[in-house]
Amino acid sequence: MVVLAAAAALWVLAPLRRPAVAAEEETEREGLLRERDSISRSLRDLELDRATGKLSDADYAVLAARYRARALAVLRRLDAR
Amino acid sequence: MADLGRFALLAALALALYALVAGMLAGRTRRAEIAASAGRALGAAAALEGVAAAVLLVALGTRDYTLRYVAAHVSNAQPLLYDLTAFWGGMEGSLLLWALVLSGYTLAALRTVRRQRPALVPGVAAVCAGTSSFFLLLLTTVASPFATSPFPPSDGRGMNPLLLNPWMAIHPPTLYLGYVGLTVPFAIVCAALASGGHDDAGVLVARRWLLWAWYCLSMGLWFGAKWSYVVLGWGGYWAWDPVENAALMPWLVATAFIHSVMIQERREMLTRWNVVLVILAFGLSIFGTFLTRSGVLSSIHSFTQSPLGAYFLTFLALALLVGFGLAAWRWDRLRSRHELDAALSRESAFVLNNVLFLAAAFAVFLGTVFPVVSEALGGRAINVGPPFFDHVVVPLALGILLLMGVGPLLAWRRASLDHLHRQFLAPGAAGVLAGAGLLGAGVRPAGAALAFALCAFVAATIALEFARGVRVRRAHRGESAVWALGALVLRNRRRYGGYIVHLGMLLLACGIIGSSAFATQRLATLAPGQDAAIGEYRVRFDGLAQETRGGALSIIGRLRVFAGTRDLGAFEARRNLFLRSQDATTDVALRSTPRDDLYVILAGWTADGRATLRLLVNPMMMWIWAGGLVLTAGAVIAMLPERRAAPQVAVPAPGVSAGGAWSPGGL
Repeated sequence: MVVLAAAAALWVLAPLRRPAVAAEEETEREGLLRERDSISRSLRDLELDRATGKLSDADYAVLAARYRARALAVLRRLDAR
Repeated sequence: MADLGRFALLAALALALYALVAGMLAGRTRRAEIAASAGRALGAAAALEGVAAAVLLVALGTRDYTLRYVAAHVSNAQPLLYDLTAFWGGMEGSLLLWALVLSGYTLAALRTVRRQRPALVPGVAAVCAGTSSFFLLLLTTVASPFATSPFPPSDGRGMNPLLLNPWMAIHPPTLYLGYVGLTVPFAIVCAALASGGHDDAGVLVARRWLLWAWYCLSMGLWFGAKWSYVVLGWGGYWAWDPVENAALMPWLVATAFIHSVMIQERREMLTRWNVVLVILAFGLSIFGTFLTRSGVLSSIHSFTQSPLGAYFLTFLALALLVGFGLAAWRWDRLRSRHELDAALSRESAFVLNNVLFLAAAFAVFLGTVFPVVSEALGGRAINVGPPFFDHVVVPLALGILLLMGVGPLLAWRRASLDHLHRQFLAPGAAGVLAGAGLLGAGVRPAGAALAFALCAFVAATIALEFARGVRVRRAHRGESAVWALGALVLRNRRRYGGYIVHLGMLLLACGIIGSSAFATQRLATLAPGQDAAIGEYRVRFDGLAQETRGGALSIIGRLRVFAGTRDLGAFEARRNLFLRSQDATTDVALRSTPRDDLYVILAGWTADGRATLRLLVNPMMMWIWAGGLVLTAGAVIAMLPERRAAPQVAVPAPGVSAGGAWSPGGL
């Protein structure tokens, strides 16, 4: 049991012997990709709502334009990176 | 062996405490090597808990009565399967299962969080380690499964015979997967709040974990209802028992979250609300474990006698303090970026749905703790009983049912008034026709007929959603109806998986309405050869028999069932008297069809061979069980990972219209 405990302690503490490394932060790119996916999902829902008659063409045009504008802003920021 | 088990749990506790400190330190210093060490400590703790679990399983399987836990839950006459399921048949074993499942979840969560949001790893490790430490502390102090007896008995007491049933073998672990699963979303949200820099408060990463926990809770409740129906022999499946309510409360809150998180995903709204729901769901899972483990349910005095109650309440208070404290700290950052565009929209339907779910959860909470509170304040426990729950929760449930039909017909952001009448025409007509038809056919009580009408309305909205989707796909792609249906569901898994879950809930609702409103029962004392009629059934009593099996003396009522002149076959209704424990169980004679269940209980017998039978006809019971299967299908589809969108992008030159530059891929 003592040997087992010592082995576990060595294994657990081993990473601390490595040189200090800064933890990975979530990059801005990951956040932008997440936003892109969210907009994509919203647009797909919007299309489905229009195709199934829940949304008039006029409402669809207004709402979709807003999403597209947001999407373009996100894509431009992604391209700029 | 017991020493190995005890050592494994103690070492696991030390490692979990180390991971708690290392996780917090890694979060503060943002040092990857400390986070890696915390992760390793949690991995080692999981392995040691596995060793402890293996030791307990071996002890149960070999009937090692030197362990008090084994002596209390295993007996020589008990089948091996139930010797092993005794692992979670008692308090200490079930706490070990909690810790073990949590460690499994923790390792899986660290893996996915490392991939999706590496900055959250230290926080998730710390919160999971803190929760693990609590359960390991109990396991190494007041609830050790490895306590030994100096004078072991030659035979154990065995489990309560009511628990010796396949449904009870799977009900607790499934429920535990749900309860424990709620720790991960809590850990992710706490980690995101602590680290800052995550505008969604980690809620979007937590969603999938919470959906899984919700599904497990659903199945746990469903298995429990099935067990209650086939084993307890009272003809029902839900009694508003505090243990049932303990699992229902987090389920209600988790269901609210599953709906409101969609608003956060699409509209970046309700982040604060979702954070509160995640914390509440976790708090209620701990509260549920506290209720069922502390003994507080039977009497407040047993609470004071049980050390576990104080431990659980302290941990619960600490967890809520941490969760709500972090939320308060980041409150300003969690402000919604948008507001509701219109009162009539899918978002507003979801908000109302959340209000109803939370109101139902609060009502269940109030009714459940009322005996404890009244005893603490007035010295006398006042039990509110099923009428309270029926009067408060049933109207809320009907409101939720109505929203289940209305919600899918509304568009996101703004429901167009021009289209609303067309949306509601067919489903509304289906509901009105169903209601009028049922009332015209003399179906009473009228409330039940109206509830069925509501179900017809909801069913029509779901059918319409599928039909419209299929029609659109066929029009655009010329697919066959079956192909279009399959492709529609697979391409929009979350939406249509959700509709299938709604369909399952609808079947469940129909079963509950039918079995509650139209159940009939009667008592009949019969001599051999006599029969009794109930509904369209005639039950003939053919005499008594007895046999000894599995340590129980069984009295068997032999029955023959007829529907009109049709012979439906022979059935048996049993009472099993366990001689050692003096417990009695019931095996009912049960004939199930989609229309109704014939349910016969052997209530008593006389020396001259007569039997008293309790006969019940429970309509639409099979719909409840079918609802659980459909819910499973829908939940699995909704949980399947989505393919990442690969939009066609064309960034226009300055001054050029953006229209059409983005295509999410359509249907």
